Amino acid sequence: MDAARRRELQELLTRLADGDRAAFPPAFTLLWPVTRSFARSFLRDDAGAEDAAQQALVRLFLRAAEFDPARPALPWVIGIVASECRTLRRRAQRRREGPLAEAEARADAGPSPEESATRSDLERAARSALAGLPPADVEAILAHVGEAERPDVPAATFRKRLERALKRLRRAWSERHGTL
Amino acid sequence: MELSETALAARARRAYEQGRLQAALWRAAPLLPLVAWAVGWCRYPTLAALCGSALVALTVAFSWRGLVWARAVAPGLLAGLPPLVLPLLMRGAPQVCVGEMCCSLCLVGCVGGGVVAGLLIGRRAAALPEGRGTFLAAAGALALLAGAPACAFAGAVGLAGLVVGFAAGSAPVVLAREPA
Repeated sequence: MDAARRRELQELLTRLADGDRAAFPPAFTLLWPVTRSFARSFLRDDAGAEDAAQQALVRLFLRAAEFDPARPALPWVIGIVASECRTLRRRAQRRREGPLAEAEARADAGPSPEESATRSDLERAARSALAGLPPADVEAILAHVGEAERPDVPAATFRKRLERALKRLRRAWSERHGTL
Repeated sequence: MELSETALAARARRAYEQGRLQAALWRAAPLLPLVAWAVGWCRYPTLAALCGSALVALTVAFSWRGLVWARAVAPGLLAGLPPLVLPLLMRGAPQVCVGEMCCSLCLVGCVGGGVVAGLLIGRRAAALPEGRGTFLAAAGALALLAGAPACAFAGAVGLAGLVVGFAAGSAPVVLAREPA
């Protein structure tokens, strides 16, 4: 989200907190794509993400009267949406949990479910940010982390290419998640 | 359960109104012990209960409505303290006589409290760039309702004195700053 839209979000949430109903339609139009996109990058399945985004959006408007205009709007929004997504994911995990023995067997096997979920979230978010980059950038980054063959170019060229790719990746990440 | 965007907007709007109502109820909650206290000592408990209920209801309604209405709540309640406290302190005092005309000190407290409330609210209203009338009406209603139980000690004359005092206090300030 660029600076102008952040300012617009701040202004709309301030007006909503003040009780200005005219700010509702533009706030909804601005918040819905942000909420949906964040939920999709946070949760695994699209259907679950859609459901979570809807619940998060309703929760956002439920708490709009509590918004403090002195604080930045975007982190407040993301905080509520992330909390709602986490709650839904925990519920879904509880539903999916198998018998106790199976759970115990899993407990010693490696990282905890929370760690796995966090790692998986980060991986998914990174892959989603990578997907928007040119193929040469993706190739350079994957080669750098050891997930692909290094292209047959001189070391200096590869370094330059990697530098540019990482810069574009940072920008793509910031646009998607608002922070780095 | 996924919803269409229109249905989601309607649900979000309901959530927004519900959130505002909850916040308004929390804002009015501290008034309940005050109302119970006023009913306990007021000469006319029914009147105190009616004024108290109206005070709580209007506080909730104004806070929920937002904008100038909500901004009038705190100044209105604060301005209601002088007409509530002054007559209460003076109720046991003897009558004051000027020549052959005598009146209870409690009545003087009602008028004086009304004037102070009028001045406080009038000053705040006059400083507003817009919505002065709404602010004056909303804050004035709250201040008068807050002061009414104490002024009931002086009977109907006390209540009338409160209203006259409020008008006398607020009108000059507001009229003096009326734009040309």
